[in-house]
Amino acid sequence: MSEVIVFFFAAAIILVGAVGVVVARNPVHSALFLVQTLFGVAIIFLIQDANFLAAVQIMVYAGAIVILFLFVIMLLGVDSAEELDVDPIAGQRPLAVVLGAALLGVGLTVVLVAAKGITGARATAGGEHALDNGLSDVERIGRVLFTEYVFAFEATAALLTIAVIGAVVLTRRAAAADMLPDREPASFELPPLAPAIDEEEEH
Amino acid sequence: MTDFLNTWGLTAVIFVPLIGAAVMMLIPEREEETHKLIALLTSLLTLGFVAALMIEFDYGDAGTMQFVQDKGWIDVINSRYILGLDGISIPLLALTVLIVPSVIVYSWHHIPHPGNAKAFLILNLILETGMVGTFLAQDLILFFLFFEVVLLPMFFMIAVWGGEDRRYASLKFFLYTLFGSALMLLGFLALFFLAKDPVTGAALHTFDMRALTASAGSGIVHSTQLWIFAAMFIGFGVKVPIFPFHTWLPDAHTQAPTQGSVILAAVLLKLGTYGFLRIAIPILPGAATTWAPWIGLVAVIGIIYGGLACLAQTDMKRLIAFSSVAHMGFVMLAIATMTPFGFNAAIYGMVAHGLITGMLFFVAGSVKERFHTLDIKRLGGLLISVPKLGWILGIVTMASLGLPGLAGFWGEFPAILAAYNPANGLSPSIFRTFMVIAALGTVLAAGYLLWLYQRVGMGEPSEEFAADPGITDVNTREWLAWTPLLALIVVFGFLPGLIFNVTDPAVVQILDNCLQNADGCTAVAQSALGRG
Amino acid sequence: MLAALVQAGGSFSRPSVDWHAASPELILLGVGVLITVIDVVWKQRARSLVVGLSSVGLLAALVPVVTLAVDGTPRSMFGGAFVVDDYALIMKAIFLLSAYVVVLMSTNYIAEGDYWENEYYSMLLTSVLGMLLMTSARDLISIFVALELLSIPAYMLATWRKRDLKSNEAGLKYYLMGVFASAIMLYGMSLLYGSAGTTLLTGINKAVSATDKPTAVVTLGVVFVLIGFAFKVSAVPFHTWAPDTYEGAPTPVTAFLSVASKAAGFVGLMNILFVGLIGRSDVYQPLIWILAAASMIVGNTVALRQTNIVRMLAYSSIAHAGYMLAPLAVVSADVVFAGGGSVVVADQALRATVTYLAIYAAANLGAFAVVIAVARKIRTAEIDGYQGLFRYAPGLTVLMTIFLFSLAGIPPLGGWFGKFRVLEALISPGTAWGSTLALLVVVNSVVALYYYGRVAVKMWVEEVPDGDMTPVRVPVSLAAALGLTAVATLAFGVGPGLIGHFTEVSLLAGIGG
Repeated sequence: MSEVIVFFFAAAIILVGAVGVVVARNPVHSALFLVQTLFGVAIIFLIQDANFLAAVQIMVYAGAIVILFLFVIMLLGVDSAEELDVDPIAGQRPLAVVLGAALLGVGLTVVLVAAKGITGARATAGGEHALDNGLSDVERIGRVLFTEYVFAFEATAALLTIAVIGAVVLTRRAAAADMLPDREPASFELPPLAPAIDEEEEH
Repeated sequence: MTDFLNTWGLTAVIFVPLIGAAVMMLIPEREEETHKLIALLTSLLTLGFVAALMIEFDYGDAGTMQFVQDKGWIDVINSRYILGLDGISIPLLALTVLIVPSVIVYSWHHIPHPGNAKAFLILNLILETGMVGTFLAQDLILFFLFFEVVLLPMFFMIAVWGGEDRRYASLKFFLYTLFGSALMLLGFLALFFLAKDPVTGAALHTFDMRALTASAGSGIVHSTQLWIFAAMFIGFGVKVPIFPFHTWLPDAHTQAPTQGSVILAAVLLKLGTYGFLRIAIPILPGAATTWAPWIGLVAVIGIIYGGLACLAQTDMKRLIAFSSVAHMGFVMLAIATMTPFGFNAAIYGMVAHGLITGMLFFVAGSVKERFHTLDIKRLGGLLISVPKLGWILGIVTMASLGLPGLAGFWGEFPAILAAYNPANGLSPSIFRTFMVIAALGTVLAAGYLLWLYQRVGMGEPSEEFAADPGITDVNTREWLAWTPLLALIVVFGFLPGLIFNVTDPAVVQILDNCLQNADGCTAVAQSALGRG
Repeated sequence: MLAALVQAGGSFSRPSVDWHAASPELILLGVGVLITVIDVVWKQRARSLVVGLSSVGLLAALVPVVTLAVDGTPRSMFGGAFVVDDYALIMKAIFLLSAYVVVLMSTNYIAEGDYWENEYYSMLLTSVLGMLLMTSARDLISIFVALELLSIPAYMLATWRKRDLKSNEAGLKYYLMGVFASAIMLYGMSLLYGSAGTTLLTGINKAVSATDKPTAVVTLGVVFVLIGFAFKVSAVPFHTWAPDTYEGAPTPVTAFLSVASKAAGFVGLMNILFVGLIGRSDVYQPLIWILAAASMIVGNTVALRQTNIVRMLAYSSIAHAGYMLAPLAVVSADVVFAGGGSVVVADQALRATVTYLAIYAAANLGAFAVVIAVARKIRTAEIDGYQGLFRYAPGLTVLMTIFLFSLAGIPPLGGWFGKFRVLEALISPGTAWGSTLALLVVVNSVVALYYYGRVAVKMWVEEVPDGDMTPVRVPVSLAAALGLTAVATLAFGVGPGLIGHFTEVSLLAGIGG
C-alpha cells in the first residue's frame, strides 16, 4: 500500500513538473520544472528497486543535462523569449488540444480496458527473481550491457561520437576565407560547376 | 535450317529487330543513310525469318503450336519463356513483319519533324520486337511484357514526331493503355492463383497459356470468372478499342506521324483482339459466354457510333481513325459470336483492316505532305492533280467499305453472317438484332467513305494548290512501300482461303479445348463445332 | 577495492562473437574511424583521399556479405539479438551498393559546392553502419539504437548546405519530426516490452500471441511503434517532413534519404512485424492497410501538382512507400503456392517488399543522379527547366526516361517486376481487403504515370527555352553512378529472375513459423 501512495505522490510531482515546463513563461523556470519532473521519475525508479537508475537519473539528467540547458539559456539571454501569442498556423492550438485530449482518452481507455492486466502487483511468473537472478541492479545492468546488448552498446558509442562531430561541424564558423555570407544567396558568387539547386532564390 | 528454326526461329524473329536497334545505337546520329539501311535490312531479315517459318510450318497441323520454345525465365513466379506459332498467330505475325519494312521504306524521305532518323527508326524496330513478341508469347507474363514494350516507343513516336496536340494525345494514349493493361495483369494474377487442373483438381499455379487454356477456367467459381474476364476485357478492350474506351484513338491517330498511325492501325489495335482470341475467351470460356452479348452490344455500338462520328469529321485522318472504331466493332462482333466461323471472320477482319487502314493512313500522310492539310473541305480533285495517288485512295476506300473482290469484304461480310448463328447458349435473337444493326453500319461505312472520296478524290483541284510545285504524284519510295500492301488487298479479296485455311484448324482447336474441359462452355463449344 | 569488486562480480563469461558475421559492420566502422583520424591529422589534404576511402570501405564491407551469403548458414549472436540470415544479407548488400552510388553522386557535388567534405563521408558511412545493424537487429534495443545511428547523421547531412536557408529548414524539420517519432516509437516499444517481459522479438512474438495478454496494451504499443516507422518511411499522414526535407537537402543526400533511409525504416518495420508481431496481424494489418492506401493516394495526387522535380520525386517516393507497405497489410500464415513450392503469405509479402525496395533503389537513385547532372547546367530543379533536354543532352534524357518509367512500372524496365510482386502478394490470400488494395495500386500506377510522363514529354517534346544548346558535362563518378543504376534497372526488368533469386528470403524461420 505504501508503494501505491509513493507512486501517486511521484506521479503528481512528474505531471506538475511537465505542465510547468510547458506553461512557464520564463525559460529558467521551465528548466527548473524539468528538474522536478526528472526527480519524480527517479522516485519511480526507486520504488521499482532500480537504485542505480535512480542515481543516474539524478546525476546525468537533473545534474548534467539540465545544467547544460541553463547554461545555454543564460548565454542566449533569458529575455529573448519567443513571442508566444502569435499562432503561426491558424487553428493549431485548438487542434493540439483536441488531439491531446483524444490521446488522453485513448490512454485512459487502454488502462481501463486492460484493468485486469495492470494490477500493480509484481510480476511473479517464473519466480520472484525471474528477471534479476537475485543480483544487485548495478551488476545486472553491467552484465546485460556487456553480454546481450554489447552490440547496441558499442553502436551507441559510435552514435555519440558521430553526433559530436556533426554538432561541431554544423556550429563551427569556418575560417574567414572559406566563409560565404549566410542568408544572402543573391550575393553568392557561383563556382563554375557547383551544384546548382542550392542556388535557387529564397522564396 | 529446319533445326535452327525449330530451336531458335521464334526467338530470332523477336530479337533480330532489337539487335538491329542496338547496333544503330552505336552509330552516330549524322550517318542517316547507314541508319536507314540497317533498319531496312533488319526488318527484311525479320521478314525473311518469318517467311522461312511459314514455309516450314505444317499447315495440316495448324491447330497445334509449332516451333515451340520453353525455357526457364523467372523461376520465383513460375513464369517461363514460352513461344509458339499456330494458325491464329501466323496471319498477324506476317502482317506485322510486312508493315514494318513498308514503314521504313516510306520513312526514307519522310522522317517527320523534328527529324532524327536514328531515334525514329530505333523506335520502329523496338515496336516490331514488342508486336512480334506479343503474337508469339505463350506465357501470360511474357505476353504482358511484350504487350507493354509496345507502349513506350509508340508514346515517344506520338510525343516527339506528332502534330500540334501531341503532348495531350501521347499522354492520353499512354494512360488509357496502361490502365487497361494493369487491370489485365490483375486478371492474370488471379488466374495464376485460382486455375485448377481439370482432371486432378490440383491448383495449377502457372502462367503457361497452353495449360490454362486446357484447364479452361475449371475450378473457378463463375462469379469470380466474370470479374477476371472483366479485368481482361478492359485490358484488351482499351487496346482494340471497344466503344466506351475508344476516346484515345482519334487523338492518337490524328496527332501521330504517318508511320505511327500506320503501325497503330495496322498492328497495335490487333493486339487487343488477339488477346480476346488467344487469352480471354479460351481460358475463361464460361465467363465469355455470359459476357458475349455485352461484347456484341458494345461492338455494334462501336460500329454505329464510329460510322456516325465519321460523317461528322472534317479532317481526313480523324475520319479514318473513327472508321477504325467501326471496323474493329465488326471484328469484336465476330468474336462475340464465339463460333469458329466468327473467329475466322475476326482474324480475317483484323488482317484486312490492318492492310487497308494502314494504306489509308499512308495515303493520308502523303496527302498531308503534299497539300499541308487534311481538311476535307480544302482538298479535292486528287484524281486530277495527283491521279495515281487519287486512284490508290479510290481502291483503298473501296476496299475499306467492303467492296466484294477486295480484302475488306471478307472482313465484314462473314462477321455479319456469323452473328446470324451465334454459339449455343447465346441468344440468337439478340445476335440477329446485332446483325441487322451491323448491316446498317456497312451502309454508313459506304456513306462516309464514298462521301470522303467524292470530296477529296473527285471534283476540281482547289485554287490554292494550283501553282504549288511541291504537289507531285506518287514517287518510287512510296510505290516500293505500298505495292505489297495493295497487292495483298487484291489477292486476299479474290483468295480468302489463303487465310481461312490457315486459321480454321487453330480456331477449331481452341474452341475444342472448352469442349473437353470447361463445364460452362460445353454446350457452346459442342454446338459451335457442329456448325464449324 | 578493485579486487573486492572483481570478486563480488562473480563469474563473467565473455559473450561469444562471430567475427565473420559482424565483419561488414566492423569494416565500415573501421573505415569511418580512419576517415575521422586522417581528417584530424591531414586536414584539407585528406580531402582527395576520403572519397576513395569511403568507396573502398563500402565495397570492402560487401566482401564479407558475399562470403556469408555463399556460406549460407544463418548465424545468431547475443541470444538472438543479432541475426545474419539471407534476408539480412540481401538488405545489407542493397544498403552498401546504394551508399556506394550515393558516394559516386556526392563526389563532385560536395567538392565543388565547397562543403565540409571529410565529415560528410564519415556521417554517410555511420548512417550506413546503422542501416547494416538494422538488418540484423532482432530485439527492440538494437532496433532502436540502429535507428538512431542511421538517423542522427542523416539529420545533419540534410542540413549540410549550411549557407542555404532551405537546407537549414530541411535539417531542422527532419530532426524535429524524427526525434518526435523516435520518442513515440520508444513509448510503444516500452509498452511491448512491458507486456512481453523481454526485448527479444522472438520472445515478444510468443508473449503477444498468448491469449491471456491484455490486447489493449499490445495494441497501443503496436500503434505507437507503427507511427514511429511510418515517419521514417514517410507514409501518409506522417509524411509532412519529406517534401521540404528532400527539397532543401543536398541532392545526393536526398537520394540517400529517399532510398537507403526509407529502406532502413522498412527493414526495421519488417523485423518487428514478421518476427515480433506475426501472431497479432489482426492488430496491425488494418493500420498498415490505411497507411498504405493513404500514402498511395495522397502521394500520387499531390505529386501531380508539383513543379519542382525534387518535390515531385519526394511525393512519388511517398507513394512508393504506400506500394511497399501494401503487401504487409495482407500478411497471414496461410499457405500459397509460388514458383512451384509452397510459401506462406507472410513470406510472399516480405519478398514483394524486399524486391520492390531493391528495384526502387536503382531507379530512384538513378533519377536523382540525373537531377544532379542536369542541375550542373540548368541550375534549377524546376520541371520547366527540363524542357528540350533531349535536344542538348540526349543521353541524360534517355536515362531519365528509363528511370522515371521504371518508377512508373512500365515493362521492360525494372519497376514492373516490383509492382508485379506487390500485386501477387496482394492477390494471393484471395481476400477482399487484399484485392481492393491491389485495385488501388493499379489505379495509382496510372495516376503516377501522368506526372512521370509529363516530365518525359517536357524533355522530349518541348524546345529549349533559352536556346542554349551547350551539352551537359557529366563528371566521371556521376557517369558511373548513372551507368550502374541504369544497368541495374534494365537488368531487373528483362531478367527479373536475377533479383527474384536473391529475394527468396524468409523471416519466419527464426521463430519456427
